[in-house]
Amino acid sequence: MRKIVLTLLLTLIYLKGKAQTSGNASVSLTFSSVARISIASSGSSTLTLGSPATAGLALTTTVSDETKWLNFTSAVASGVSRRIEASISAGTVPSGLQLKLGLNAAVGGGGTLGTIVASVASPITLGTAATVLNNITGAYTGVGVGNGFKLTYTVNVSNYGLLRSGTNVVQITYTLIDN
Amino acid sequence: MIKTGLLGVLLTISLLAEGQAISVSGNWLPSITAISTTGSDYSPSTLTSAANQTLITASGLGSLLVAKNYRISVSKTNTDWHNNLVLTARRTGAGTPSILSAVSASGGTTAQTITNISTAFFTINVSFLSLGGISLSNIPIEYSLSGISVILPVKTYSTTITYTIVEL
Repeated sequence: MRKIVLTLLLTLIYLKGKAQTSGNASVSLTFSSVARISIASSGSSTLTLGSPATAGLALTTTVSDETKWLNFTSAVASGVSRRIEASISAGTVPSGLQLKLGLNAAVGGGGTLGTIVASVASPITLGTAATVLNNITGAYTGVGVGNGFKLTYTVNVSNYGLLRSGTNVVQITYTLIDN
Repeated sequence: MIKTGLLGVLLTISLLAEGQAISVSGNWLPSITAISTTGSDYSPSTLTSAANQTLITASGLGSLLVAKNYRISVSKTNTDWHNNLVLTARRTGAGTPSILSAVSASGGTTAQTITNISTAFFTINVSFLSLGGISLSNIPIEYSLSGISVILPVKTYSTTITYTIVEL
């Protein structure tokens, strides 16, 4: 009888020794929407249609500037994409000229930087808001000159007869918009 | 007769001591530093919790005149998670023993990635001199979360970390 009791006790001890329990803790992190856009470097670009070197020759009909870079950071929910539009928000392009914009391939950054709509090979004529880059999702270009999309501005003479001398200031606004 | 009685008393003491148990307290709700420079990603891309973000207490440890070892394992169960997010844990302290020198923790002091599969984290060692029923309280755990980027879809990511104690 004593042996039976002892065996039962030892069995109970053994079973208790193999018990297994657990406890929990949670980790939770919230990502918020981010939409930031800027042009590097600051300041204006100057495009000058200079005088011909020899009297009787035509003006240089195309001048361009590639000193500005488009930087942005975008964070979106699944299924959401964004685009960047460019427009002339102040000033007017002088008669007889066209101001065009093309984006070069992205440099640096990460994520889905989008699809170029206005390329250097196929630039858009700036005026009312037009999409220059589309289908951006979660992405960042990197910061400053040398990162993101180099902007190529070009001035073309579209009508020689309408040209007048002078200086015109044009402001271009870039907007990052949800599709 | 006396020997039998003594044995009975000792066995009863052992049985009265509860089996090993674990309690866990302290969730982690990290917040991301807002982006201040356009074109940049989140910085830092890795967040680290307080050194004692979670406290683990193991109790009901030991047995009369028998050295015991217990394994603490860790795993996570995702409510909503992203594979780019890597969560690690490490033990940053020894905890407080109910009887000095009778119980101690070993291992787990280097960051260990928490996966969905239960993996050994650290070990609790109980001296044979204990009578059983002892505890190691407030073992501090620190977390680290890497892979934070704007590339990840905007939402709340959450997971539940499970610590399990098993006698070896």
